[in-house]
Amino acid sequence: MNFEQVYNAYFKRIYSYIRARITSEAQADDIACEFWQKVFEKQSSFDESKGNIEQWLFTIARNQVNSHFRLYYIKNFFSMTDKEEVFSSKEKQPLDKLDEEEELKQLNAALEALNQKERDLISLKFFSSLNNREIAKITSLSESNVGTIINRAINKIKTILEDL
Amino acid sequence: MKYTDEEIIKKFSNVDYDKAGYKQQAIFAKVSQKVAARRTNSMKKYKIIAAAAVIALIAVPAVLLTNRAKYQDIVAEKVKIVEEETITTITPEKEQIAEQNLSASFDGSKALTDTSSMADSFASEELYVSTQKQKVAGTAALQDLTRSARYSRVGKASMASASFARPSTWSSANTESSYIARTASVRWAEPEMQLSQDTKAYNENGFKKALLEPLSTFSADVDTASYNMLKEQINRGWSIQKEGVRTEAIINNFAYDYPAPTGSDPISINIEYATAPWNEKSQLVKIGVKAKEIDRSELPQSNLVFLIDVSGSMRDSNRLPLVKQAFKMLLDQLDKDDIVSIVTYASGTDVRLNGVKAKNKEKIIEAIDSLRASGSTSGEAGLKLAYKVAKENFIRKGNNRIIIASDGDFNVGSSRIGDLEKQVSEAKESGVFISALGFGMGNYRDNMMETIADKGNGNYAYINDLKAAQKALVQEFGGTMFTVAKDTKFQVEFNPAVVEEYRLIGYEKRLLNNEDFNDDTKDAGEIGAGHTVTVIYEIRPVGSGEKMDIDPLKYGKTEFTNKDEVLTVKMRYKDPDGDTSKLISKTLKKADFKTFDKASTDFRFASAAAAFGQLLRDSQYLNGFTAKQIADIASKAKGVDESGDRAEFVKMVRTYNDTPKKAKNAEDIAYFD
Repeated sequence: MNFEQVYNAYFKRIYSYIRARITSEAQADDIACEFWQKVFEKQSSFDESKGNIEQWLFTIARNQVNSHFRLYYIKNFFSMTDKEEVFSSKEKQPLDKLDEEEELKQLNAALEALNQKERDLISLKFFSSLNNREIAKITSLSESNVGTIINRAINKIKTILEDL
Repeated sequence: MKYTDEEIIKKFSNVDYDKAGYKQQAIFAKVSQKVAARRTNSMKKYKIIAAAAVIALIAVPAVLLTNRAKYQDIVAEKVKIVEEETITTITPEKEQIAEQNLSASFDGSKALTDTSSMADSFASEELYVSTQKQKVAGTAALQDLTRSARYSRVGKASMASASFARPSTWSSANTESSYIARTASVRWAEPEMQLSQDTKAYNENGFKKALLEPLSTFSADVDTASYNMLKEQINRGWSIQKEGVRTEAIINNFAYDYPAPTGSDPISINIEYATAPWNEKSQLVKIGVKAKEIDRSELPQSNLVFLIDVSGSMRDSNRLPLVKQAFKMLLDQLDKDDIVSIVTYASGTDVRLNGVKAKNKEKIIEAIDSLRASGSTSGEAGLKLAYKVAKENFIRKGNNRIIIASDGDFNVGSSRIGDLEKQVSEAKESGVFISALGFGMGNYRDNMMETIADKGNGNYAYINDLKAAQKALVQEFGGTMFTVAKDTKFQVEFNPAVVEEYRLIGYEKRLLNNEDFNDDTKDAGEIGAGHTVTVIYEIRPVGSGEKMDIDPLKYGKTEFTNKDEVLTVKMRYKDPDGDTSKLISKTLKKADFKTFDKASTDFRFASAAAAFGQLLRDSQYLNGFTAKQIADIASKAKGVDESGDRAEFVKMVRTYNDTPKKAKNAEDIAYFD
């Protein structure tokens, strides 16, 4: 595989997935960085017969994010950048971007309210444009289960946005 | 506003986290940089292995040829050099240079991304952690190597490879990805978070029935060390060790405005009485004690012995270097005729200065600056020597005091608390008092330092930064140094006609038996000049309708007297040089009751501080009172707040409130396994 080609083809989808799961931009960036480094080192071990590259990449990305959270929860490690980071660049934004900021803020609040399973599936589906069958393969859940969880998550988000 | 599924999905698809493709470029640059760095590093490792192999081939026959004694000398010398090098390898300057290098290497990507200043502080924090990690790993590896070098014939070779290896690990510390550094920080932060096993667990005081136990007796306490430790834990986002939280230390960390004592008594008692913020059916009684201020010109002459721990564990930047700065600050507070001595202890003990007048400031500063940390910790011997020096320079009617600065890790000699306790209380009889300053967070033994100060008629402070040093040694100079009342005990008598049940908030480790109050041989707390001590009781009044913890009594109905009085506070204290105690008392009338809103700012703030202590200790009496409610009360009750301590408290409580306590639910944790 050609690393640079893969990078350019998948960067946006992977990055969106990580950002949708991790509220802090700085942390998401670090994880993205770590992710691509891993891909670079492991590229020779990619075996096309076992699945397509998309599946391979998203499996690694999910593991990366999950191990980040696992440590985070187990050690109760608190990062100073966690909460405020999302809004910290506000003053740099021109006025017409404020609406967008507000939108993002709301969306983040909604994502925060989901549990990790729901947030994971929502991120895979809407931020990385995978379909239910692909998600089912990556997460080893059944396809119908994926659909149910996503539906439930969307309803949850609806109530949260309505409350805001 | 109502949304359809489609609208929600549209919202998602509208999000573009990397519109202009900046991130794509920036992260690519970072990744290539790291991949490249990793390659050079592994190249370096091969080179080192090759070098070590060559040296081993040459060194082994050489060693075989030389005689054993000569060989040992060479190894010893080498070991010394390497040891010294490790100590000096990671200096603040080098850390700074490394930091600059690191930020320079990020500059490229920084120009592209909107990295906020947060990221900078993060990078330096990570660097600090990774250098710490390198330091620890380096020292451990070195210890192993030196040990094996002393006995092994190929020792010389492995020593050599150790000194080669260090620079390479150092550079890898800079280039390791920040994510690795972060996970490393998690791993390395863990042992630091744990308070020593010597921090004994204890339960909070429960409600007592005033009819059965009308007396509540305890010793006065003004230590605020626990507060500083707590602040550090919260600000670093570590989990709070609830055993280490002392509610009374939180309450007493703040200045309250009590009228100074009049007449001959060195202390005044002030009582305030209002509704409890966390339960409207119960009430709080705040008892505030204020010690008289001392005019600096009237201060007795001081004979101070600085007993400084210079063992290896003090090497960290927040230990010995901070000790030096703290003592220099203290030096500025002294009168020119005060006497200063410096005793150090590590593997051995040493008198660095003996009875030098404070006016010879340069000489003292020079002695302080010359201190270096190395070796093990012989606290017992150090303390003995310090007492000897203090007695040599003893000033009659003066302030004879040892100030011990340590991380509390007495790992040689009588390191168990009991022995040390006995030694300190014996020495106290001679008129030499002892104050303790605790430094460092890791193996800092809270209990040990507290015991030393407690038994030695002194007080102790935990010093984590310059601000805490400033507070303990400059602002509260009189308080830390000059005791105006010693063995101060409280006894509160509750009137069962008014009070159904009461409970003392905090002071769990300070409780005394009722009969100890009038027993002058029982040791108790000290109050320094200008200091205040604040005590809060929660009471459930008769007929409050609240469910009591103890059933009403069937027998023993008595006629009550003085039905308009709630309680009487009695205090016993001794003059600093006295042996017999004096008694003062004050009574609280029912008519003094106010609602919480009408209470003074001091009252409201103190109850917020009390609530926070209880919250951290998972108190069962808070009725679900939250950190947010506490912060709101405190922020409205800041008052004048000259020192900014109250504002800092509000900020700390808010930080605590915002810190995720644990996973949102168990399902989340399970999901990652």
